[in-house]
Amino acid sequence: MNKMTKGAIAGAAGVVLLLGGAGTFALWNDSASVNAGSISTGTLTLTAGTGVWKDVSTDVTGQPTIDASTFKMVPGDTLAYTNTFTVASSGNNLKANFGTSYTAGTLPTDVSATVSVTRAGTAVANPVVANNGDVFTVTVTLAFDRATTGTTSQNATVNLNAVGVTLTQDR
Amino acid sequence: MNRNRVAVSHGMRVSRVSRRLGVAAATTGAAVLLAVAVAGGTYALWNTASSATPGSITTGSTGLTINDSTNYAITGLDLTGLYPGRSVITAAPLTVKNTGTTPLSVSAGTVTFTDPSGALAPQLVVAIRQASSCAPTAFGSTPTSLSAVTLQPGTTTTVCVEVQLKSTAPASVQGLSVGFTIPLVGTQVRP
Repeated sequence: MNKMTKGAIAGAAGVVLLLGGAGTFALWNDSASVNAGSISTGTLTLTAGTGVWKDVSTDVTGQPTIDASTFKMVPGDTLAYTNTFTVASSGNNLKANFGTSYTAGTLPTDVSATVSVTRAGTAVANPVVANNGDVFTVTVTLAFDRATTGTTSQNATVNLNAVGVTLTQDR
Repeated sequence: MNRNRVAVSHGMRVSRVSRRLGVAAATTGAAVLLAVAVAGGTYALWNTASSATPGSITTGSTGLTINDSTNYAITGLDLTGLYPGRSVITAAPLTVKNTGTTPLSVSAGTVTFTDPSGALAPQLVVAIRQASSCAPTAFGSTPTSLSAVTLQPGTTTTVCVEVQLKSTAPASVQGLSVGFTIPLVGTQVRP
């Protein structure tokens, strides 16, 4: 290969490169766009109400509301703390479960605490499928055994753990 | 060792072993992927949490005092002039108070004597009864103790302690003395 041939090849390559770079603008072109609009995401929220303590002892009429800070619990008493939780959910394919978790902790002798959940007055499983607008009532029932004798558990403080309430997307 | 030797002598076996390894590797890989997908899936979706906080409740108490004492030493009971059939009574009524937080049903307990085996103890009738002013039981009648008097928390009532020497007491108990204790028992009552 002589020098002339090498030069010719290099020159041709240079021309091709120039053509390749400039060619796009020289020809017709047009553009259009696909406008997909906008999509919103859904919501999943849980709103807690205000908790209320009531004296629900079987021998007390009317289940009066009590002040937990001044109430003195005695054997035979059954007290109930209730709070409501409202579900707000939106999403075409949204499915969510409502659940509670509770550990009673250390309570005075003969005092017991249980948690129950109702929806529209009916007891539900834990967890349960929640729909938009559902109002769940979480109740902590505190009972002091009527059979308590002597001076057992007098002047004691019953510290109740919080009930964990969760709303979890299932899909 | 035996397998290795076979693999070396037969070319086909070698390739079969390597293929089997390949399948095993793929299975393990799939298992790892599945584990990650399952564990990650639970947390990847929306969840919201709240809590119901009941706080705390305090338990009540029971308490009963006589003249502001849980162990009151009776004063003003003149026992010097006892004779068969006669009663003596505390000069002023004693105040019994429910210092607890729950209603109590108050009854007199069983009287105990310092010398229960002595001659005098069986000849005495000790009573604690509800009265606003203390007057001894009429000669010939036996004093009776209070029973099931309901006291609301913080309220008081008055009682008198009365001692009678039984009308059948023998002459041998003359000049003797004995100490006694009479308890008041308060039991919680439901409203």
